[in-house]
Amino acid sequence: MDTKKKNSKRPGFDTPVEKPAKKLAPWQSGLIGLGIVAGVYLILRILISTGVIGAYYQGILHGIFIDIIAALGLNLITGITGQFSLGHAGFMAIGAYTSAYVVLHTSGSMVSILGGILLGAVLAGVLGLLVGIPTLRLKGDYLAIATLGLGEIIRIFIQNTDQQVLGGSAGLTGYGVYAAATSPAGFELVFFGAVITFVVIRNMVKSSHGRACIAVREDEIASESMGVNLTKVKISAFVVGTFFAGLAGGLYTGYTGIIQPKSFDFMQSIEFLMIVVLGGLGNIWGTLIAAAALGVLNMFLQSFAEIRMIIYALLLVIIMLIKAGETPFFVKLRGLFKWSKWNLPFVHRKTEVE
Amino acid sequence: MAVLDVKNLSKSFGGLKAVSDVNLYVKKGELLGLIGPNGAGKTTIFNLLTGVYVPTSGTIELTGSRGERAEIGGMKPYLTARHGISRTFQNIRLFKNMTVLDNILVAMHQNARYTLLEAIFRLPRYYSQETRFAETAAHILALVGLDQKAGELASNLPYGEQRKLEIARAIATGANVIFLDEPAAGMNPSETDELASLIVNLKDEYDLTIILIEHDMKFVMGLCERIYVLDFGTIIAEGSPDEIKHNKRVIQAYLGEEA
Amino acid sequence: MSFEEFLQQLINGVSIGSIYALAALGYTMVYGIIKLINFAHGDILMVGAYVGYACIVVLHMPFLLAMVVAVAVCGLLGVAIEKVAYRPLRHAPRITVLITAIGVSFLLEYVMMALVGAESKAYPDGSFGNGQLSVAGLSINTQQLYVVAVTIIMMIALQYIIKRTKIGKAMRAVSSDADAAQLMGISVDKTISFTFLLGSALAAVAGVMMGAMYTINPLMGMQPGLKAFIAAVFGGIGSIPGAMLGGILLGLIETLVTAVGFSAYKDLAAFVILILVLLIRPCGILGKNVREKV
Repeated sequence: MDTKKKNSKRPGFDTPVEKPAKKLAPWQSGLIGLGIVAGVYLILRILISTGVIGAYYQGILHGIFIDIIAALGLNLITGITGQFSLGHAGFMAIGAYTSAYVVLHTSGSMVSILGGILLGAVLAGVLGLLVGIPTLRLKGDYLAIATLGLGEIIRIFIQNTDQQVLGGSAGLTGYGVYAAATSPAGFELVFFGAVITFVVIRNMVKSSHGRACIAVREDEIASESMGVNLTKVKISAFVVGTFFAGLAGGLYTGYTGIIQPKSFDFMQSIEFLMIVVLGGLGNIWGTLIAAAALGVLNMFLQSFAEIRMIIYALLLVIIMLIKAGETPFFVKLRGLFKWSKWNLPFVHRKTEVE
Repeated sequence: MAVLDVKNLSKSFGGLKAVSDVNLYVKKGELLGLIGPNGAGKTTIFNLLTGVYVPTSGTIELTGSRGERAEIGGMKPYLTARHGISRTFQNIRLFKNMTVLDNILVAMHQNARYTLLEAIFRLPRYYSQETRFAETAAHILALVGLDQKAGELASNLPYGEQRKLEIARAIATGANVIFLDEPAAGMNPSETDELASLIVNLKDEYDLTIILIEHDMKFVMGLCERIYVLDFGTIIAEGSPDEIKHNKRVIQAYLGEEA
Repeated sequence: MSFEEFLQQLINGVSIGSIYALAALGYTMVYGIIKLINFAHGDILMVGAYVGYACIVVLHMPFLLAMVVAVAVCGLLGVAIEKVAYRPLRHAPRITVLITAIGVSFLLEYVMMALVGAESKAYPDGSFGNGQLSVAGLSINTQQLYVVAVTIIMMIALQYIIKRTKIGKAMRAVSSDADAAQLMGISVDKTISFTFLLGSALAAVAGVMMGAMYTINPLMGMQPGLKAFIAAVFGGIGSIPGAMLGGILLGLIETLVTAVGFSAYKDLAAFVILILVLLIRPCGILGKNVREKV
């Protein structure tokens, strides 16, 4: 064909293709990651053991790690896969009540605690699968409302159960404080829980499955035409995300010493959404930082509930209005306050050549 | 040998018959054109053949690379993709907030042979597959001249390169039948020429069968070996570019009754 | 349950359903025109209840005048919210606008809480009529009658505005194709503003009546807001008769669930209906199905 001859030098076709540049080998980056985790762990452990971080601050630290676990799960569903869920706290409740129930009805040893937490996470994931199959067919805001409804159904259901079984609206207590500040292994549970969650979500995102999730968020029709099974991708993200909501719930049980249905209401789901949005939708490092930042903010505003909520609300609106997307809020803000943007039009500036 | 054999294909939306009783075939390795005035039903046919729409009636038979036959009418898009069919879109549908490279890698997802658990635990299969994916992706990107932009966000590419990336993405699925929906739309003449040679080169490199919709007649006539003309949802002519140019009904359809 | 009791519950159901229907209209109109679930809608209802309360208790206005003031304030508030929070995001992904709406909702709730405190307040007794009417062995609260009457009047007025006036025609045009409407010389911005004005005004009417019947607090908008949304989805979101039908049906179902002894599960019923509707017939009873163009 003559088009071929006209174009005798065909880049890529006739010349060899360069191989992609080598990055760090997997074992190298793995080792670095392990080093960081061990370092952070040792520092925190020493600070706790020596009493520099007292019981009060340790409690806040635990809360932050629990938030990280739940928010990472929500980020996978909402930020990465683009499926808007407003019922995350409901799945957390499943994990919390399961683990409390297991501990109440067994020996209360470490094995039963860990078993209870794991069972709670698995049940939350299974419920995620069961409700995900029908609801994930819904798009965007419909899904948001359906998940909101689901979260509320779970909560109202627990609230109306028999007092003897799940405590009704008064809640459950007396299952033994196992992860709270006073328990020696409490910190290890939440810390490594958060590390495992982060590694799992990160590894998932940086794989073909994770890319498929992002593609579904970006364009459902195009991703389906490229061979991505929408249902499968959405449901697997939902199951993994709800699993971690359940895990967070199990850890939360020990953290507070009492669980009540009202701790898992719509507001709690919004708190997680807040963390995800603040850290940047789909940005897992951002989730870590945002959870920590909000944890500290909450500490300072503990006795000013209204002001806290007003700040939350304003943050939500502002983050959306500045269209931060995947960029964490603080990074975007820095960009906004870049000094060049505030130069007045009449001030003469040398224009840069691109 | 026919790769695709379409018989009595019809699609109606409510009372409107967008495509009615279309019969066509596509030979293996062919570069086939599908033309017709606006609203003739071209994109609807693409949507039917790629699974986006479910046909109201009719059959679409696909013959795979090993001679196996499958009825793909009404099959979901991700399943038709698994049968080796891929496409581009009239109004570009890239994954805008993903990098150029990731756009290609998403298309390879259906060929990923490691499970989610293998990815989470980073088992050996994950690494071997990802390395192979990266190499294949680099190769495809180099072919369309986007290897230098692999790390850029798809939304930051200029228009012409976005069109090329869509083609590259379609090829990356490993498809052997590719549908291009107005690949040259919005391009200037020199870009169009470049695109034409790119399409021919890619077709040879990957042994593809290509079906394209295009309004640029010079482009279609220069590139396609055979052309179907569609008007009001039915095929009014079929033949080589020369035959089509002189076909009375085609001229009528494009210029109106008087011609 | 005796027949009298059944009729009694029916009346209760219709009256609470009327309030849902009034609020659902706001959801459905806004959704129809900019495809947004306006999460803050329930809180506009709350603001309306407080404005009405202030007018009656502080300014000693008669009930109807208080309602008019509340309608005006809420109408302007709705327009302002759209201008500041939603308009800049008109072409942004829907999830972005939805999160914004949630933010606005919380902002209204907690700013109100900071202003007036969290405790519940009640309208003065008798401000909205509180007599009992005995009809054929049934005792009907006059409030319930007023609610139903006001709702019917509002609906007729709304139908008139949408079907007969120029701005109503513009609303329908923008909701079916905003770009085309713009090309025909319709100001899309003004039409959307007007939609928010109308929806918020109806929410204020509902809010004042709710306030007079029950008690008011800064979070009172959440539940009826959700219920009204469910009602809108139930009836077919985007459809105005659908919102009325959905509201009344939801009110009836809730009252019946309570009547047969499951009052604790009243809220559950609404959510179960929501999910069933979404799964079985996402376009609702009277809605139309639309699909994305490829």
